[in-house]
Amino acid sequence: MIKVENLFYSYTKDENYAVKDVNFQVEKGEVFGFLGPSGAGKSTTQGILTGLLPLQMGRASVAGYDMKKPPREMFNKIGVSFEQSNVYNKLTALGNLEFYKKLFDVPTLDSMELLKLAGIDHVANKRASTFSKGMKHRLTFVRSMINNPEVWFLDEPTTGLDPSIASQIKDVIKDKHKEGKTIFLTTHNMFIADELCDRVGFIIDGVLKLVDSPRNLKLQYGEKFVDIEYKEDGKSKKETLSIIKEEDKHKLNHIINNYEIELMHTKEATLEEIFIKVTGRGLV
Amino acid sequence: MHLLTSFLKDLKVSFKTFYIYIEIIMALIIVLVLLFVIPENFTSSAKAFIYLDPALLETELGEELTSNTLDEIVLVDNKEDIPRLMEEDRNSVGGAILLENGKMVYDLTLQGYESERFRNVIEKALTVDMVRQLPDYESKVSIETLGESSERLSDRINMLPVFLVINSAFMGLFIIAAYIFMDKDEGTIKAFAVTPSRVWEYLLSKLGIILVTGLMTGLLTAVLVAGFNVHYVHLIILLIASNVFGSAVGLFIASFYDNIIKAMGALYITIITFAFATISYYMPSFTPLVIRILPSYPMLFAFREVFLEKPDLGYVYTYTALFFILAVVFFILANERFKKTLTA
Amino acid sequence: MLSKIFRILQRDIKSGMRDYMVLYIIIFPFILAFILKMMTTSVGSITVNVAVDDSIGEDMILYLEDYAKVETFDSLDKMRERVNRTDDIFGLTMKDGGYLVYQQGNETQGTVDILDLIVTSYDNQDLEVPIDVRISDIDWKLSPLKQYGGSLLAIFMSVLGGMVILINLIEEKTEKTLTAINVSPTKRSEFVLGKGLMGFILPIFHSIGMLLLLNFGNIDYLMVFVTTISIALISVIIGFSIGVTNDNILAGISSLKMIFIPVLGSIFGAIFLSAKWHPFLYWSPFYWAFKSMDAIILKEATWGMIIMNSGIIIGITFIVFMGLSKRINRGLN
Repeated sequence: MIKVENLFYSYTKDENYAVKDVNFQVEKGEVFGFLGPSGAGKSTTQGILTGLLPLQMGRASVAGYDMKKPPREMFNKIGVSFEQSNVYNKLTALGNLEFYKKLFDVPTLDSMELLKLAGIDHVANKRASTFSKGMKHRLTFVRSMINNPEVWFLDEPTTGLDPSIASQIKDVIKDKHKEGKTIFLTTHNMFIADELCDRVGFIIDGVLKLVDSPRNLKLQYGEKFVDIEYKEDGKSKKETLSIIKEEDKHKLNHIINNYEIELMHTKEATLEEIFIKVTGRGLV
Repeated sequence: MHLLTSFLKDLKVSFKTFYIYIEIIMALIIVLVLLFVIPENFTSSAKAFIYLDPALLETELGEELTSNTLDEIVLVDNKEDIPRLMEEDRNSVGGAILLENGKMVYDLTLQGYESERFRNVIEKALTVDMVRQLPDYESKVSIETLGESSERLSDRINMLPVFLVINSAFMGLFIIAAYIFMDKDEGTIKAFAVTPSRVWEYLLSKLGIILVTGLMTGLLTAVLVAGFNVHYVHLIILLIASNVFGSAVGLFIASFYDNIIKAMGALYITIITFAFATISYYMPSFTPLVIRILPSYPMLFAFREVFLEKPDLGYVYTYTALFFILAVVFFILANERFKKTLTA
Repeated sequence: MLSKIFRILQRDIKSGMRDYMVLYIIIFPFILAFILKMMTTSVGSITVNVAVDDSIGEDMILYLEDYAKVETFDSLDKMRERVNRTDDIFGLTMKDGGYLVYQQGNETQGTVDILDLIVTSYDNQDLEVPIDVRISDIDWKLSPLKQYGGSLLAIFMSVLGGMVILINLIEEKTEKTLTAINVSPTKRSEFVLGKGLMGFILPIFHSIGMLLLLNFGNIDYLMVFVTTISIALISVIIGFSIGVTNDNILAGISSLKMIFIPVLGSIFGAIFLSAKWHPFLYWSPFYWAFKSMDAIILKEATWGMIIMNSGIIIGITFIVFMGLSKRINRGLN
């Protein structure tokens, strides 16, 4: 559904590239995430794929359309949710959706249903200018679904939102994934990437360092440890033991068999730790 | 279809900002000023302080002067008072009609800023009646009027074209840019850009709003001030042409800038430059080429025509067509630029 | 405290310079003054405009030029075409041994008589008129156009200062930098003074510069300074009240347009209305400023008058400020 080959982009139209020789592909029904810090080139790449930025060098196609000169019909097939809410402040929530749906040539979803999904149906007839940041973001988010897009672009879908709202949004994304939508999301939040994405691409300074599924990355780069808290002679003790090294394996066995276990969990590497390992830099 | 949707949305939004209401109120204020403060016709009366030699009081001229009821001619008893009186009124002239050695002398005193030509003309004008009575006097001048009508508009109606050009036609120049930059700040342009709607539909919808506002304020003013003495069909067509021209120019200028503050300089200069044509409209003798080539110059006169009983339709529609063509050109250029820069 | 004020002013100047807008506002009044200067020199010498064709001889053309502005054309058709243009110009040609004057018909009343007069006088030059005509003047070189134009411009420029503040404040509101300043140690008064300074510096710079350019001779520039300061005060307050209560430039500009009407209206009223109507303009500080500026240009102003007029302006300003201060304070939050 999305194919990118040798993509370059420079804002200053010289050798200072914001995106350097990026190559990747997103299959139909896949959730693909770009994980990287601010300024890495995530939004630039997404901008090119959504037609907001021109294709300067390289090749890109979305839903079968060449992004060199995408026809307007292409936009019937995609939906874009922006990091910065950009709704019409002077229109109501319902008014914003009712207006937007008329800009598409394909069947659209019901506005009130979308507002319900976003949990802002109770303020459907209030002006967007009265909304909190979270509410505006939810409106922007559901607006991007209005044309039931095949390919859905999400730019930092949960950044800056409180956990409960972020959780609602994640649930919607998961539902859409189950429906078979192709989703391209950008984020600097590893939990989101980990939880939602089939595959992630690590991007930093415009370069796509690697692409793989979170599971494979953890398996490949993760250290295998177990954190164990237990009681010895009435006192709580904590140990971190490798499940590869023989002596640690024996010790683990010994603790399990002889002491009262309070807490135990496997300590896989987080995506952030893997990111730092691979790129040498953090996610923020 | 997308165009209509955008237009209706923009119309809704602009009614929700105060902008349209303010424009209507302003138009009403202008109407009130025109109707109640501006006189229907300006009467320019320059005063003349005249001293008449007592020896001339009994003459025909003397009798004429002493019995006149015009405010403009003020007889003074003392010749020496004239300079002081003239100092108090810098638009006035002074004169003494004297008898010296049996000959009549017109001793005219001007302020000093008058030109050489003006003095020469005055000199001739003072003696014209006398000259015409001389036996050898010959006049071989005949006058032919070229124009189909020599209609003159009242000074009040004459002001309407100025208002229509600057407010209804060129207002769009600035406001359309402001609307676009407001959308840019709100971020809604990006949302629009990822739909099947095209850039020109977006721009045209904005043009439509300015047109609606321009027509509303223009017609409101014309109706209230000029009543039925207007060819409304021609006025509307001309208003549309000049309004879209102004808006298209505004779009073109705005396409070079990122935000309203940066664009304001160029927009401001353009509007003021166009406004200069007003000087020549009021001072027909001062029409240097640099003003004649401004589009606002023929626009003013074209608007003036629609208030005449027998307008020169050739003139009106030639320029209407020209404004439409130029509007299209500027719109196309603006569209090309905006396609690249609108979402950047 | 002073340093914070100057810091704010400095930022405004720097930011303004980057946007050419403020640069235009600074240069533009001088362009206007220059144009007024050009106008007054050329308009003063206009009596009548006449277009002649090749039937009019050189001698007559030379004669005509003492009285009128002459344009020559090498054919009758071209001359007639010129007459038909929208400006006021007559045509003159020889026909059947006499003169034919062409007019469009909508020229200013009375001007065709002037041309008739001039043309007839050419043939009758040798006639002795039993009257002597002497023309002198009282050495007053300042035309009303230059006089009123100069005052109008000087006052108008004071209003521009308010406009700069307005734009500035709206920019701060849009970029939300106003909020950032609110959480800094800068006091409200320091901020207001820093922003307001521009509204005084520019008008003084402009008024004095323009009056110098127009060359009114030895006028009292200190009086100009005092008058400009007082009118700048009200412009600054208006600029503030519009700037802080509008978060988009569109509404701000519309509000400013509404302010222009009383400004220009009261000045034009002072120029064109007869004295009996003037009490209706007493509410307008711009009326008093105009009266001061006019008297200064005419070199008739006394310090008593200037102080009184400035006092009235400041008094009106104070009343306006009292009415708007809550609004301004709210808007700055």
